[in-house]
Amino acid sequence: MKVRVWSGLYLFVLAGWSGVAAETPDPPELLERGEYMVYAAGCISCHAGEEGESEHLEGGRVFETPFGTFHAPNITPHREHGIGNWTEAQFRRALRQGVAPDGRRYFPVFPYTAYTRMRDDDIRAMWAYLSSRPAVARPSRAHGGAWYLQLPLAMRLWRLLHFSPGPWQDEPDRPAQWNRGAYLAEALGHCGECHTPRGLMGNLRADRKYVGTAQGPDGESVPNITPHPEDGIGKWDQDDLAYFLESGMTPEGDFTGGIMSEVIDNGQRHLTAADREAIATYVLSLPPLADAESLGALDESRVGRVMLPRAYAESQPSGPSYPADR
Amino acid sequence: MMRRIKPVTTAVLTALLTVGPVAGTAADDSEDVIKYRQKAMSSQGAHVSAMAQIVRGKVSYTGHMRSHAVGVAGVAAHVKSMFPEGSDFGVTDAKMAVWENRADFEKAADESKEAADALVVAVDSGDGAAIGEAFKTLSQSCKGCHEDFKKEDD
Repeated sequence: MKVRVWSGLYLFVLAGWSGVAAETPDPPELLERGEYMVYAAGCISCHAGEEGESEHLEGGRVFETPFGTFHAPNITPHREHGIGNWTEAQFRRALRQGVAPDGRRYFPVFPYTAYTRMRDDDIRAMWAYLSSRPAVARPSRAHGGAWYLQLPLAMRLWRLLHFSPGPWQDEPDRPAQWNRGAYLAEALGHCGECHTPRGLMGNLRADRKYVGTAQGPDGESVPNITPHPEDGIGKWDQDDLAYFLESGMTPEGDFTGGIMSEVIDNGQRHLTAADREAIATYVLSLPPLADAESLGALDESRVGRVMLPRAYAESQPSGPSYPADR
Repeated sequence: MMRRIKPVTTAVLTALLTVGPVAGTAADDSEDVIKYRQKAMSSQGAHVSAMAQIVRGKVSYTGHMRSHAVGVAGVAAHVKSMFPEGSDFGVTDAKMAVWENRADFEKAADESKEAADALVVAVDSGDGAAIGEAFKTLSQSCKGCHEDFKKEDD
């Protein structure tokens, strides 16, 4: 096994002490909190089977993106196919830094750019919970990322431009409920991964936060959830949005379908009412933004089609890919 | 990119050439069928969102529950017939799966109808907890069907 050892602690753990945690079961409260974090972080929709329908997190969802095809990996504690050989520190580094145990950088299809904001105690609880789950022997599939993602340093360059690591810092002038909602939406729920349009490098456009996009997952459009009165959800109140996150019902009595329905069933529905209200408070406090159409839209079909002609790109072998570079 | 002619389209074109308009009952224009079903589905939404206010205790009009539930159950019985072959043209949020996976669609529509009927039964029982549960089941059924058969709004 090839693992970059970067501290004495790692040496100690790798020398065969990784089994210790399994012998002293984690207290039930920690596991309960970990399960809650798995719901809050929306792990299930991507990691539970191809349709997000498995009982376990053995991976499988396929992401067709302008940057290639990606496959959600197995995150059950299986020692060969899952994360059963990881340490808690390696798990924390994966979420916090987007770096795999062997030192490779993850593609940002794994929303570590959000999870980096998670707090240590929440990561610890999540790790304890995931470690307590049954191991599933399903091999993770290799990603088929675009050729230019295989270039040495590609991910490092991307990270330099678009990744600012570090846990969530509460904004002191905002009420506790707002900060809780912001933490849940930004560090865990990663709403922006679908609701914020992307720039040419697939980065989330901070200036267009939550404004929606015509080029969402599965080729479906994703609605504007800023409090813009016409284009967004400015006519919803906090209770409307909190109830939507519980039931999928809009104030008009329509029901959401598609991926949002999964996001609710696999996550939001399981949160406390107080947490859903906190998310609603935060989202409705954001700046209202008009849809792109009214401003002259960025041609989102160009995202990912950068730098070199397609014919050349397609002639390149796709090569090994998961994760990105060395 | 070449656009493949869908089987449904072929069927509709054939029908148009032979027996005239086919959507809904014999003479209905498919755009009118779409318009009609959107209005009918909006009325379902209006009833359901009104019931949500009552079920969640925001208002105390518990005596109104039955009217709303009966309304939803009545229209739920018509859902299958509101999506006839050929009504996939025009401005519709219906996914092609409505016609391509017809058996699944009809099963989902039947389940919604059953969930709405069960809500009427629960309302008649007067048991608050049962009403809450039945309402939740109906909501899940609406959402489940939209997940597979309705496109998201922009």
